[in-house]
Amino acid sequence: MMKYAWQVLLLVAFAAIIPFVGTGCSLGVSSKLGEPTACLKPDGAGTISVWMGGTRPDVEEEAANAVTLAYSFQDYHHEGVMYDSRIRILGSDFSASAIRGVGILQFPADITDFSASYDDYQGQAGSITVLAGLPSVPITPTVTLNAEAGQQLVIVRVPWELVPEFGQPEQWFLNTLNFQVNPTRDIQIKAIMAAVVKKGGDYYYLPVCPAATSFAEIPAFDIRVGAGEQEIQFPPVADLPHPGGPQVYNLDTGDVYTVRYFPRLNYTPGAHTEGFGFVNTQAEPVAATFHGYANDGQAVGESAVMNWPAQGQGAYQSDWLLGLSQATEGWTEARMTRGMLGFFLTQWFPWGFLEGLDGANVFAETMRIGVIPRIQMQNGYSTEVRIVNPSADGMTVALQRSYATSGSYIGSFPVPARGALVTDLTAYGSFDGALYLESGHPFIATATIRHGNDCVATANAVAFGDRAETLFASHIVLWPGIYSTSINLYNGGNSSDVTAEIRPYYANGTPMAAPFNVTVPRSATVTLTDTQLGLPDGASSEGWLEIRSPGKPLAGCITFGDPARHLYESTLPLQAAGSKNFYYAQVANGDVGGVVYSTGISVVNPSTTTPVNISISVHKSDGTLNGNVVNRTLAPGEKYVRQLSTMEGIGTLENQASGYIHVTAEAPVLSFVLFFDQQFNFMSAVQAQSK
Amino acid sequence: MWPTLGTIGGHSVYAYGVMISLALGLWLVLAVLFRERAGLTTGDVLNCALLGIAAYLFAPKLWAMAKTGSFGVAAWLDLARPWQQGATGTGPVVSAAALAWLGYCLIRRIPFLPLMDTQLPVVLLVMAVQRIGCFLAGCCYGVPTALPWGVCFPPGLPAELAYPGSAVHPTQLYYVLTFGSLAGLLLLARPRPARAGAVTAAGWLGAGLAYAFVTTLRGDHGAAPLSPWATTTQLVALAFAAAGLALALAVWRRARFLESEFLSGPADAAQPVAQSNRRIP
Repeated sequence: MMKYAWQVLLLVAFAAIIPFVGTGCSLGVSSKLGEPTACLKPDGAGTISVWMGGTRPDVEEEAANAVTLAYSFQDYHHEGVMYDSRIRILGSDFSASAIRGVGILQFPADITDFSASYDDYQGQAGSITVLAGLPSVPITPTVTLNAEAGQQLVIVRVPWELVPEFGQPEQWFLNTLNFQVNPTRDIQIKAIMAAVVKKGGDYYYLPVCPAATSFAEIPAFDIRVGAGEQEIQFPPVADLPHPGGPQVYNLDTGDVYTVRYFPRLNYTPGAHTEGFGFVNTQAEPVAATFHGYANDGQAVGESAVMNWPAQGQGAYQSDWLLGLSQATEGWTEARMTRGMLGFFLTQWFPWGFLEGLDGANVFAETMRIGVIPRIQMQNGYSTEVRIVNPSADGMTVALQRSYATSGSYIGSFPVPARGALVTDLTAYGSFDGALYLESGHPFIATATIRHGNDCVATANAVAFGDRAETLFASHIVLWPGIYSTSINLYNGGNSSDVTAEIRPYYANGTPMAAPFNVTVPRSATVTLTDTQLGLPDGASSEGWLEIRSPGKPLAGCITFGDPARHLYESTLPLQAAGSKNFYYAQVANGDVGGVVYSTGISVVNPSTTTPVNISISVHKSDGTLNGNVVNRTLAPGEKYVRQLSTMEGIGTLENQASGYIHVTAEAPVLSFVLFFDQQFNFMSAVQAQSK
Repeated sequence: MWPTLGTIGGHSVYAYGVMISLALGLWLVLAVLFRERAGLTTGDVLNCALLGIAAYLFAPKLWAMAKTGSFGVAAWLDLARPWQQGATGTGPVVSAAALAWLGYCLIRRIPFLPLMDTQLPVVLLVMAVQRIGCFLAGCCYGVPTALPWGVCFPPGLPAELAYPGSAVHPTQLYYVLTFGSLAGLLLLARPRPARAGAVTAAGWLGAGLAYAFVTTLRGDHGAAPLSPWATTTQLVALAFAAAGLALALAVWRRARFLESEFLSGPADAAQPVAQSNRRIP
């Protein structure tokens, strides 16, 4: 055997290495793609090479004078990094079929001799049209995308016929841009992916990714002389001026804005209303207008232009904002110059007093498949489901109920353009569980769950793609007879039953109970309450928990409430991942107008090995600090839970009925906020939001 | 479907790579078992294995360089980094391996067709195992289908990224079935010695047609069209099928000649048939 030693050695080496590098045989996209590279030789000859692939955008809406396009760019070099963007184009005299795509790059103005080519190394190769030396390009008739001082814009137009239709397999090409730098020196460039629309005789270039209207907001990357092939690192989404929702370009009026959706507008004078609020996390002021629509799609009111200062917060009652004087039911769209983080609060005044209040985050994005993780219709509960169609096309939505043992189809229902479908589902049979929603059109949805007239809880629909294999509840608590915690776990989209492992922890990070398994049947929703979550029976205790279902993503929500009297209740979605920088868009604390509010915050370090430093700051609505910044180090697995006024080092807090909380951490942490009145007439959980 | 089997020392262990290793091991075991039938030594088997690995690592990149005329430094540097795999492509790999083995046989003066007759069924079996790896990795997937055996791949795999939420043809398993069953038939076949090359011909013809047909159901970009009616790998597969058909005709004509010559000859001439065959080129 020794005489074959070198052959055997090579074969063994190959057999040993290939399991670590052989990811798949035709994964050309991940294997043949080098990192995007740039090169600038000493003679000034420069090159940028990027493997790019994709399809044309998904046309989500195509109606007279309105088109919505959804783009998705995936960075194959960094797992899980996606750049999702949606743009809505309003205006007459154009069609979706006439929309093309280009790259717009910003180079120093003296760079010359641009040329570009594509090659798929499968037989398709050719040249790419390049337009250089442009000082600006029009975005709309009144807004232009300008080159910064001393810079030029370069448009790179990939042949559209090489871009497959949406839904077809991607085609990948190595795109190469050549240029000449004279005098030779290090340079900086910036880039935007844009849609091109021809309207009348004019072309408009609509930024898609990032959807920014100024190159000053976009991070640059360097190309250094003589440094050989330099990898280009695309910035993460958080570093881009991403509006966090669809960017709207009105080619008739010239307006450019982004939108947020409030799914519920339910106003009856003296009985119930909605509050809408935003926090502006940016360094620039933001102007916003609110536009109310009835369930049938008709406009019912429009606000004046409202201004949010940089780092400011503001919340307003919907009836005041929209000028409503009579009972109105529908939904609201907010249009703003830059993206903001928002929330809505449903308030219930059955006898003139605030008896029920709960809120949820405003929708920045729509979905086509989603699940409302909590529907409760039995034992004195009722649930009103509201499905909003924000597009200019009518749509049909299919609903499937999910209950403890399985799921079943309810039916398909029409939703008018710009309208809403409101149903309590009672006519289709009473059940507790969750509701699956699917449509060919984008929608948003929410459920309002009430127990008599005493408490109200809100559960927003979760996009199906946001289901996760690990879910966290950053706060579970049991005060027997007074305060209860329950969790809904929904198993939709998996082909079989799911065995989920529950791991409850005390606040100090020690296990509350040994991990245990819960089976969630296919298409079913299982509700676990108090001791079923591992909370000790008959004792007051609190902690947090983790739910694992490897390979089988689940959706879920957590509900806090008063099990005996049902005076208060609040629901919020389970978290799939932590965050290092997040906001709570509403704070109420102290005696304000005779109502004594309290706000509690919970922050959990989910790491079992590494401590994490966190900072918590409470802000008034004008952005100024209320009290001091609280800095803490959380041990592995530790949960920090306090009422705001009892946080160590917070100092003296002024009473406030509005404002926001900002939390930063060195590593991802889990968190949520509860605010309630001293008499426990209501309680509202607030979900963390990241920029 | 199950792209990663776990981690070792913080490094992911990929199911596809493991199946490639298993396929290599299977090939070595069977090739060593059958080596005498093919007139090979153990050293020949090991050398052929190394040539196959070289084809796997370098042929797709060389093919891409040749097609595009890209012979710059970057292309050669890329070629010199075998751990950075290219878009593999069955066509270039199989073609290069066949050519490499033909060259090896010429140098070592080993009859090529008897070698192929014993090795091709094993190679097809190995390709079937490799395609199990494709299925686990979620590559080489098919177009969407409503047929009951359509497969929904888990989120994040290439098939799911291309067709989110859709059941697709499990083309990987079609390859497994066709290659595996063809390998089984060819391993069972015992053609008369006068028909050396018959197994190879049947294997090329069957595998070429099967590959070309299954590939029509492919939905991944790896099967990007080279012409309006066929992909690169389909053209290679059809070329193999055509070569198999031509070889089958040649084998049949030669066998008819040999068998008729000896059968019609003197009674004692029937004895040296096997020896006579060795003289036939």
